[in-house]
Amino acid sequence: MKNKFVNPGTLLNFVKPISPWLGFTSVMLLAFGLWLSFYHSPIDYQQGNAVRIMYVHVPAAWMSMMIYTFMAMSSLFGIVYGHITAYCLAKAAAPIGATFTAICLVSGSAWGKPMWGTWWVWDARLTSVLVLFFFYVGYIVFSNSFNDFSKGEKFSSILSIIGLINLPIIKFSVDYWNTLHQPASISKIGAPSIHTDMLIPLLVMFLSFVFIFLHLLIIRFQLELNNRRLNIRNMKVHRTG
Amino acid sequence: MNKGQKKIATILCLFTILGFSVFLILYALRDNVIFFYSPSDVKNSVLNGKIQNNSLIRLGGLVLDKSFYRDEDGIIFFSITDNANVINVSYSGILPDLFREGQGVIAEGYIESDTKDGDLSFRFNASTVLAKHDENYMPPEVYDVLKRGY
Repeated sequence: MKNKFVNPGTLLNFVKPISPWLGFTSVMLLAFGLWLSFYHSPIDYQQGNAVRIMYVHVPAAWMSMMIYTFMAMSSLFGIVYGHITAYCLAKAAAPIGATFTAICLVSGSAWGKPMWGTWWVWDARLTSVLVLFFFYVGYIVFSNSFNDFSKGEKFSSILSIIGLINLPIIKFSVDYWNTLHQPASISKIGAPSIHTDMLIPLLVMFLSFVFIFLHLLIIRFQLELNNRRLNIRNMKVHRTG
Repeated sequence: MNKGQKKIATILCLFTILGFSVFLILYALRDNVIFFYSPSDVKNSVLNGKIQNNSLIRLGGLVLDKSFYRDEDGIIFFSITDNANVINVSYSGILPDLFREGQGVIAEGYIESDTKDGDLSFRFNASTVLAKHDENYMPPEVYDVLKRGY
């Protein structure tokens, strides 16, 4: 693996100038997406106005799974090749992913109360997403709970790779088991079972979330790099002092 | 194989073993993971003794058309069907907004089975009723057009 972007400094110099533009695009898309979701999309034939919660809930759910995949893949690279960049990217992504998972759970709960008649049930989909949230939290806690940070990086990376098994469980939970949660609308075989006027705000919101993730990822990547430098310096001070 | 390839091979092996064991666990627990029984599941499970009389279960299916009524005491009666079997449900409480005939619902409560003249019949006393909604999202106008089209 000889790639110049493996060097964290080179990567940071390359992505840092893009970062503000990503943030700007995200805010613009968010404003447009929220306007679409609240004022320029039809009500649902069954759910009425409550369907608007979907425009936050579903993109957040997609993000939570995408970011987890990204985090686990970075961790895998970290373990196999020992690249600092990979570890720092994984660590940078974790709290962002955990936040999206939390948004997904809370908005889903707020949607479930008026539509299903309950805030929470222990069906396969809801439970597996909660487990995803715990994997994120476990990763963050684990990576910060060792005096020797490189040990923390290794163990938390293994944890995040184990958590990959949860992703297909989340995806197929609504197809394999009876659940209260409805099956997927977009990714099902054949035409998506969602009207175009509702699909557009959903996709705009999703794009906005993707951009905000990249923006935050770059900021947090730099932070994790600095953190790492600080840790190394502290260890040296301990050793010599 | 160099060091990196060895590591990848090890991780792949362990991951496959782990994935397979999780699959086996979920497969063994499949009866516990499902959230509700359909009326046909209930019938089969009572026949082979998996569900005891008067046990707490969740029953899911569609509300049978023209089965809903409310008596003088405010008790609600309706039937849940999976288009093969029908179970009559009684419930007193607040129904979710999406509850209507033809809608998917999940009722939690106690199942009573009766064998009269060799025929198995059920009564279900629900303590909670939840509404399911499907994965179709569309504006009301589109729904009207679709309905007229069929």
